[in-house]
Amino acid sequence: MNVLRSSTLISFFIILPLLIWVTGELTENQSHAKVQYIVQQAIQIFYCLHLFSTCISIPIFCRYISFSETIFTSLISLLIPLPLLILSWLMGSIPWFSIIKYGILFIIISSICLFIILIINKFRILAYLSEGTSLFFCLLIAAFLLDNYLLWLNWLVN
Amino acid sequence: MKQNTKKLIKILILCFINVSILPAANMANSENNKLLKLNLHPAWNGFYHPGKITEIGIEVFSKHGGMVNIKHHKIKQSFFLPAETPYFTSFPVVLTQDTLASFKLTRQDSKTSISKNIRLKPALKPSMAVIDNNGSVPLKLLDTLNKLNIKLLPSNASSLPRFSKAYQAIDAILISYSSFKRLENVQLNAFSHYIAECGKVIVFNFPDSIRDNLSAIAGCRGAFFLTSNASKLLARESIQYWLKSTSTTLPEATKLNEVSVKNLHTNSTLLFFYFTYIALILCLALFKVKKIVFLITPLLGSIITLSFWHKEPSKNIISWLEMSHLRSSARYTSLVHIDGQGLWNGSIALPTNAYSDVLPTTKFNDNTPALMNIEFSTSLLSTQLWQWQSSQFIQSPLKLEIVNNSPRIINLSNAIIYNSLLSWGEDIYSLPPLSPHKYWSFDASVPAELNTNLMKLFRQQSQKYNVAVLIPYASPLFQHFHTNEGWLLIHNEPTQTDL
Repeated sequence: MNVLRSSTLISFFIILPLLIWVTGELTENQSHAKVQYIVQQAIQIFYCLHLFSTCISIPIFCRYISFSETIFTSLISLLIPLPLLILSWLMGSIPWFSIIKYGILFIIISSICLFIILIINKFRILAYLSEGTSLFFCLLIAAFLLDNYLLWLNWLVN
Repeated sequence: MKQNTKKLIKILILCFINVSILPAANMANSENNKLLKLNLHPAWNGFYHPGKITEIGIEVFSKHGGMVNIKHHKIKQSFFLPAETPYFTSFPVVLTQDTLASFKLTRQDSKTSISKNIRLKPALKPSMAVIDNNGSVPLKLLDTLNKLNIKLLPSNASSLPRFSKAYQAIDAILISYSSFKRLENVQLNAFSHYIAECGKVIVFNFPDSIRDNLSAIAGCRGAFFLTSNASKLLARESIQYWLKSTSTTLPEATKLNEVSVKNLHTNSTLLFFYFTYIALILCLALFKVKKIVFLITPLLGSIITLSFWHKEPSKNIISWLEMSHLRSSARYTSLVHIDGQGLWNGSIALPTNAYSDVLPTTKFNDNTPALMNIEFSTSLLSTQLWQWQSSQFIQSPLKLEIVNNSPRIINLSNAIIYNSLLSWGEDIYSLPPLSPHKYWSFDASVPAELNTNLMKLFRQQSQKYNVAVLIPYASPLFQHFHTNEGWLLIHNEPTQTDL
């Protein structure tokens, strides 16, 4: 349960600053096209931060909870921003397909992280360093994502 | 051998079908086509201004009655065609670059069809229609007009359009009384609209009574309504000046916006939802709650988001008419305001009389050419506005008088007038219900203290007049709109500035 709360808090701390920024833009009575663009930018930043935090948190969570519970926690962290993503779609900032594409990408990244952890745990490779090793590999994925963020963000929001 | 014989028989049967049955069917089809006749009569001798509306008269004749469709581009009109009786209808047409207008007539029962094309001519200079069936307009006047840099389009009364907006294709019209008498009711209605909308008209040889009636409905205080007769021919200079002058702009659109804005606080509601949801997530994270709550809350939030914001936007039209009680034409400003409440594509139908310019996103209604569809798409927080300004002929429901330095209002209509406001001096007063054909005299009642947008607008608009009354009034143009909010401002003195 603590892990679930931690996951929720991570989502909260990612979403809140973005919301405050968007609020500032909305109250300045911007044109509708400008608001659409601002929300689109906020969603793109959210995608990056959320995926990055997932790559870091999954190896840590796996230490404390079971495999199935980690999947459940990941699902919750995907569901928490859903109402806000739907609002972005209603504003015309992102296409509805973007939400589905993001969901699929998130599941793929989480699965890769979990798979790495599973392999490392199964074969007891450097057992005493397993947590650090899996975190290292997951950070590599995050770095790869960060390196190619323009490519996949473009695919997501268009 | 047997197989060869069978093949030979098959070929012979096919040849028989080809030679006898198919030509018979074709003959029947062409026979049907012969029974169906379609004639096209363009208004204004086929001249038009590119991008402006003109009209094509359609004459249909058939030996057999029945339902028929006639189609031009996206416009389709269906009607019942009586047997062996010529049927006449008309189509508003907008041509931009293509000069060819094609029409297709199809019988609904037999699906037989007939097509016809007509080539129109773009007018390269200002054009004036001369409607004179009996040749009563003197040659001297025609000579004067010929010397001006305009194209004269001589025509007869039957070719005058049935849609007032088809007058966009010409710049002015000269009509003799002998031709005016031949106009059908629908043509008279369109002609009245044209005059009310500040159309340039010279009436020739009209009796005083009819001329005065037309002058009373003329928009722009009759500035574009000229009269002439055999003894009083118009001078070249005055016609030249009249042709060059244009109507001044109508009331500012921004003033009417104040009335239309419905403060939905969409922004505030949205932000409240944002932060409440996030606060709830924080509470769930901090307090001991069951796992399933973390699953249900986001799903519930998503359902609320969709149901609260993904609503079809409501469309409301607001019309504001202003008239002097001395005249019979009113200037109107109408607008449609749509607040986006989600991602929606839609269309609204407006009467062709209601808009002044053809918008790129509009098309004529498939079934009713008198209506025009405006396509639109919305998203959350988006707003869309369409506005029309023009003049129209209406019967004033009120008469304003000042008796003993006090206003007196007479209800000329057959209905009780409710919820009206009076502007007198510096104050605005609420009026009691006004019974039909009764008068109401001012009795120093307490001024209305309502502080609505409508009151503000009324105060603003009535400043120029000594006495003014505002009543709820739905323009007949928008009767098909259930959400038409309309007001009529009647004042006792003409505006100081030129209309």
